[in-house]
Amino acid sequence: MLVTIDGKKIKVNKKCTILELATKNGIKIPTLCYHPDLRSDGKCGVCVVEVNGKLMTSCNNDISDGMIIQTTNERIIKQRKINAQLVGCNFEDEEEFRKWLKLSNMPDIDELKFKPHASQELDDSSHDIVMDFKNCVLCGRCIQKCRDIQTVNAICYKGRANATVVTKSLGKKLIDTNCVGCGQCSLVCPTNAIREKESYKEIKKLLKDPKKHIIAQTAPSIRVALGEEFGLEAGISVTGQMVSALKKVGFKKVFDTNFGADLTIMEEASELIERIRKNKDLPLITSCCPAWINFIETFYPEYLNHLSSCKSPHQMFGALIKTYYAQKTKINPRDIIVVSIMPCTAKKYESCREEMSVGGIRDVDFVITTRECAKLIKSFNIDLKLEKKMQFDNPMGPGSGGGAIFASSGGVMESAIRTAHYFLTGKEYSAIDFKVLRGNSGFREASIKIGNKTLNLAIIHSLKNARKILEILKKTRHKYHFIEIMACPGGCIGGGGQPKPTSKEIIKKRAKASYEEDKSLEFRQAHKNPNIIKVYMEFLGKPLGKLSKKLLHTKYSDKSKCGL
Amino acid sequence: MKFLLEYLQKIQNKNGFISESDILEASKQFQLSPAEIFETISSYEKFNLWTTSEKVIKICDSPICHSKGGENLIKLAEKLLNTKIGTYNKKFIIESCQCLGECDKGPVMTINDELFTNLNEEKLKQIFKDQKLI
Repeated sequence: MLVTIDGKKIKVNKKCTILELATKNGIKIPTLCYHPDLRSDGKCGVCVVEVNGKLMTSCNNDISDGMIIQTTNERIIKQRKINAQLVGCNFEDEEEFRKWLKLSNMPDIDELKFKPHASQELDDSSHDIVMDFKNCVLCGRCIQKCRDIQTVNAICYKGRANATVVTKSLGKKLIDTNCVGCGQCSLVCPTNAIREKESYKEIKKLLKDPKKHIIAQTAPSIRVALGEEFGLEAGISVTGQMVSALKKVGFKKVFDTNFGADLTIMEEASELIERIRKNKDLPLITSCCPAWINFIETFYPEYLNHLSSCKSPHQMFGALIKTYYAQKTKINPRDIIVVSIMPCTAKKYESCREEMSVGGIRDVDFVITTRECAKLIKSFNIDLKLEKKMQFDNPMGPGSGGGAIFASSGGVMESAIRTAHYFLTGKEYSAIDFKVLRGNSGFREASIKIGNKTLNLAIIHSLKNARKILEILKKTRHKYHFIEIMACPGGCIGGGGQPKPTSKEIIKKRAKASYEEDKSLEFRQAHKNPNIIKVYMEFLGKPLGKLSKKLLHTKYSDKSKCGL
Repeated sequence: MKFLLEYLQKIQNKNGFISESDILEASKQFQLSPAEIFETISSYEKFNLWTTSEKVIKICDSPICHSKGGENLIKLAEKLLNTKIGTYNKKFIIESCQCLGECDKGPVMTINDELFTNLNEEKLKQIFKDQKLI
């Protein structure tokens, strides 16, 4: 195909959209509603170009032979400005709108002349997400994520023409819908109309209280993404700088949730072996992902017995901080405040669950997302890039490489198999890297031979695929032994609380960084981590022991809302 | 039944509105999520969502009716009924709505399923009186 773009003749072999072709050739076209991972609906109309003299949106029109494309002239710019004004009619703060336009390569507009037609109240009923549709531009990315990728359908459009709004299913409050809190909507929202329920300001206040012993723990996927908030490229690990910045902010200790991940592996691998031995409740399904837990509780409660009873890593770690660490340091557990820095919005609700406390003391007091963490650090005028590298605190940590790879989809499975192999055969697997378990597909299957037994495994990410595998389970119950499910595309590195923008390309880079971190560590299997061995010797006893069961395991219950 | 709209229309004709349990039932029958059915209902002005009012008044406010005087009619209706658009009580619910497909006869409104066309202020007052709303 021969296409002329801005007077330049280009030969194209592969079919692509006008926008993709322009970007490839270094021509910038402003976009507002376009997202690389989602279907382009051409809603905002800001990306218009002239094709053979006609105005056309470039994000959802494919190129064809002989096209003559003009990407900028007076008419196009005039049209773009009108379209931007229409998009912005819901914005309350004009300044903010202009700032946002600037970020999207848009020329500045003169004035906002269109008035909003439909308004909605702010909805902060949910534990995880705040929906404030004042700034909604009706791009529809959130609905696409919720409907097509997560199949949750908690949000939808309402009305027609200029009365159209994005609202919650059946016009209810968010907490009364089926929302699982994955936060993918907030990750793609271009204007922060949907955002996480922030709690970093509360933490900032508490940090000034000298009586409180405030501890931060950071998830494996934070270190490979936090840098992006400070202008670094995706895929650069900032572990050391992050620890030092958090210390400067005022956290007494900064622990590594990888250690919690190691604990999860010890427990979950033991659970897997026990279930295989008893041939009961197979397949075992992982329970690290709180949005997935919400999903199975609301949509498939009949499969709850397949879930691993393990708490998620940060909850396990929180429980140990308030018992083992408190005993060791002789601090009253009521004075300890555990703040988890997570890539996730659903963990906010998880930490408030009744099941997640022991003797009236909550395992984790606050959960903040990666984005909030960056805001917290920035509010102290700290630039992460300039920080010196520091090590995580002891005695609980550092974690093993098995914990580090929890960040990406397939990581939990890989670490669990590393340890389960050792538990079953008493030997390490010949190669530590299980290449068959890695990849980008949302539905991966593999078989691994351990001793004389072959295990059928499945690795799932995004809830669309979770639904798919549960439908398969309805038919062939015993094909699989072990299934890992993560609600967010790509696993935690693509989590709902991660820096914006997040796209498939960026997720790949983050995954690479976390696998590199695994390789760089001395101990790469949870059961080899000397700190883990010590905790079990000094305090917990053995995996699935009495104390482990009390502190590290939990139960889940049917929370279906009659399919709402 | 094969078509969602046909199904919804039957319920609307029978009950005068579509309730939450109707939506859930429809979602099972058509293998759609309740949100999608809600979305469909909300984009057709002739469907009513779980209202318990006796009369549903909808005054068209899409561009054509709006420019033909619909804007003033809405204000007048608010004044006559001493209420605000979007509020409801036992007797009636009043809403502004999008196009009803009768643009040539605008401005238009519907009370329950009855259509009133070529409205002006006099006519509106008379209709409200006939319907025993004022």
